[in-house]
Amino acid sequence: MVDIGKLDPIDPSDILKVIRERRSIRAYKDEEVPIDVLKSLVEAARWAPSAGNLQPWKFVLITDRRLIRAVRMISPGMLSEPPALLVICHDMSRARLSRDLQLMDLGAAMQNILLYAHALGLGACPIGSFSQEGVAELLELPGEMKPVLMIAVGKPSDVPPPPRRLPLDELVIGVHGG
Amino acid sequence: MSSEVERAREHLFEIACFLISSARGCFREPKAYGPLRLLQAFMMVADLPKYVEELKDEFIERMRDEISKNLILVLDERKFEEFISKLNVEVAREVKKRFRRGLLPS
Repeated sequence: MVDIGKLDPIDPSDILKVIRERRSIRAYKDEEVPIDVLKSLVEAARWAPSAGNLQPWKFVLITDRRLIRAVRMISPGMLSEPPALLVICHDMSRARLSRDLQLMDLGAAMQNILLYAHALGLGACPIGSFSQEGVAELLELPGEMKPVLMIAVGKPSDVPPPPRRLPLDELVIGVHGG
Repeated sequence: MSSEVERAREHLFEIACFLISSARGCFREPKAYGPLRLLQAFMMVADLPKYVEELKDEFIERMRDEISKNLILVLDERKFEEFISKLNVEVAREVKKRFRRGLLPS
């Protein structure tokens, strides 16, 4: 077991800053994102929690602009063409629990990617509106790989203001103790 | 085939891909995404005069620019619906104007 007491301390405010300042970035500078950077995002995803530690995810990394353009043609939710694209697949060979539960795992992996991308100074945006069958066909994915999410990645050219968030008081519907 | 026609053909193919992919998404996506996809498709159609100049229409260009600036309203369904309502009034005014000038097909 790792001795928690020996890990480098992290300032909690740093973590909250990354969480609060992350935005969905849909406009990018025309600058390449190296594949190694995308791999580092997958490293962040790799440490997401998953039910039963099944890690039901696989990733496709794309920086080929022609291919990104082709993916965009069947992805109505991709409002602009990013320099890089990361496709998160549900690995059906590891689908031993309910689909809902495993989609939450994929969501956790996605959030790790979004936060780490922001920490690296990159902009990223999750995309759920795309033809899953179409993307699987285009990328020639094996039958057990179902693309369920995509993340557009690039250097931000425009950062939107923070969207409205529900106040904390409205979110907490029960407090017991304390 | 001229390069403009070739580019228009490519653009038409993109519109076809977009529409069919969007139809697939309409079964499971939020309700407001239906109108969003229609407006996105309109913007793509409105881009056709880039390749076939004879199709240029100032009203359509203006609508495209206005929609482009306001697509983000989809995040607030009430404001998005109000925006589309306003667009509909603008379209009706344009139809009326063209009708009065005898510009509509008979």
